[in-house]
Amino acid sequence: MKTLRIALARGAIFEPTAALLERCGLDLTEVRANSRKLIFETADGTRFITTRPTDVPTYVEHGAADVGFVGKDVLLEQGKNVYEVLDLGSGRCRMVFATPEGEDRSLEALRHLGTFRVATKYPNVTRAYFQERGISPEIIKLHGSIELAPLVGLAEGIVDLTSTGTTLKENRLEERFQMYESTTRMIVNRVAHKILAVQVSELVARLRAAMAEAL
Amino acid sequence: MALLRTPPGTKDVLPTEAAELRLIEDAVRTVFGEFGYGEVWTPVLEYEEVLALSEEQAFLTGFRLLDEAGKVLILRPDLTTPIARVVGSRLRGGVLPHRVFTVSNVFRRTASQRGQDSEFRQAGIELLGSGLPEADAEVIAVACRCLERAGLRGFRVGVGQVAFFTELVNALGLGPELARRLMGDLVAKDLVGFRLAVEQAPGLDDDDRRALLEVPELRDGAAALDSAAGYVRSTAMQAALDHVRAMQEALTAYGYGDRLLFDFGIFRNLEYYTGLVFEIYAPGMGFTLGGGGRYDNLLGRFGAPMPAVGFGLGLDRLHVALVEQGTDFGPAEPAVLMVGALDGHVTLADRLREACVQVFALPAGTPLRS
Repeated sequence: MKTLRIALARGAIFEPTAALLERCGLDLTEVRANSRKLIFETADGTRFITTRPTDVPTYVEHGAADVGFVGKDVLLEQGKNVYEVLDLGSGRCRMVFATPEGEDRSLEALRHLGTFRVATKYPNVTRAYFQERGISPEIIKLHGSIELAPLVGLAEGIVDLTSTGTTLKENRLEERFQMYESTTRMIVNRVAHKILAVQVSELVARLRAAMAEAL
Repeated sequence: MALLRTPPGTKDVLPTEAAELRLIEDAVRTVFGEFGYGEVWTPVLEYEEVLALSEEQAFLTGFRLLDEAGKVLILRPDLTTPIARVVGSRLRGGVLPHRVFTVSNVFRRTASQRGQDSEFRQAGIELLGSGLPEADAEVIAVACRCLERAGLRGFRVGVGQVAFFTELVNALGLGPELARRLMGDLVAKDLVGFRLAVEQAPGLDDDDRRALLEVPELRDGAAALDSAAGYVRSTAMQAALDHVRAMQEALTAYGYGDRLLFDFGIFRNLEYYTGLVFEIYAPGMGFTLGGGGRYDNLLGRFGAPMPAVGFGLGLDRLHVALVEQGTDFGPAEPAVLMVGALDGHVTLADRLREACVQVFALPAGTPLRS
């Protein structure tokens, strides 16, 4: 029987995802041992590829991997054509809107200018979220250290992920509201979902069982 | 100088690629003809308000422009809706069923990626005016015959039944809002959101919830049909299931029975499908080559209520799949390079051409190594 090709993201969600897959009986010894290598094959023929979190949906959408594990935040932002089949419940973080402590300057800008500037790594999610509420903020796309933008006057606020809130506090930013909550999701290529239905269903069942055991 | 580029998601097609695409298209056209389908051409531009009758959300991403009266025009985003318009106007009142085919470029705003462009060429058929499962079987058989004739090996056809789920929703008496949300999640392939919606839905017992969650998961090949029987709660659900079985039986007569994968989780990405739906998968390809299904309510919106079934095949995608499996499309270069055929031996070159030899004429004195 054909085995699955699984895309894993190196980064914050790697450890809980890897631990869960191991509880399902998959062998990740080598994946854990060698963080430079990109392709791994286990004894039963299962192939793992490791990549950046934001690239996981791309590999899966194109069918270069059958299955992938990635945060809901990335899926929301990219809107890829893949099956989202399972919420692993791990890798929990929140996508929030934050502005510098004290008076919320974005409200001030909105009142006077009808808009405000928001810096983010998630331009699509941010645009859609505010537009649904009748606001069209000016979106400033950044690739890292989003917290810097409001401190140097590049934007009034930011949209970013936070799990503990420490980074926000260190930069004297205050969470104004939560937009979304994100957890790790299992995604499946739309053709693999049909042609490898048995293998996919079996992995989902094993993951569900392992998650139920942990509760 | 301006950048000599084409808009994102579009491309120029040069001789080698064009010749291969032409071979594929010819094979497909021949099959359509063998089944008695007649070709229909529709304009590239349609009035947005006319296509909007389809109530198809996916068309919102189409390319638009304005005519001189300020009316919104849209570049044809699919093949089926224009045909529905033709049936509602010029094919009205003819003898049923109608069998028509189109081969045209369609336009959608998509993130450019392999086999998924803003402009792509589709070939499709519509069988209009028959609600029989045998009509569905014919359409799937035509699709399979096209792939076979184009030389594709190992393809599979995933078959679903939208009505089996919508009738389950009806039998459970779910409100239209919840029904729309559930269908929306399934069409968007968001099975996590779907599960959450089912779990939070008020007024359902455990059995109801289990049925809603499990029906879209029925996808274990032919056994899916037997398993589905256990979820039947109304005569309408039974009829939806019987329809699939009858189609399967009819398709076996064409020799394609073992190509089928039954899967009640196939909902396609267009909302106008009402019954049996199908998708075409090729080995090693991460995207579908095409698909179709039954859309019994669409024609009514264009003033000609009748059942209908059809499919569309992405010719570029089929080409990718054929290249991927190493298909030999024959020689790309002309058979003969003839020095002097342009400016001296024209008659001789022409005689060769009459004998069906391809001749590429060069002026006299062209050094051979060039």
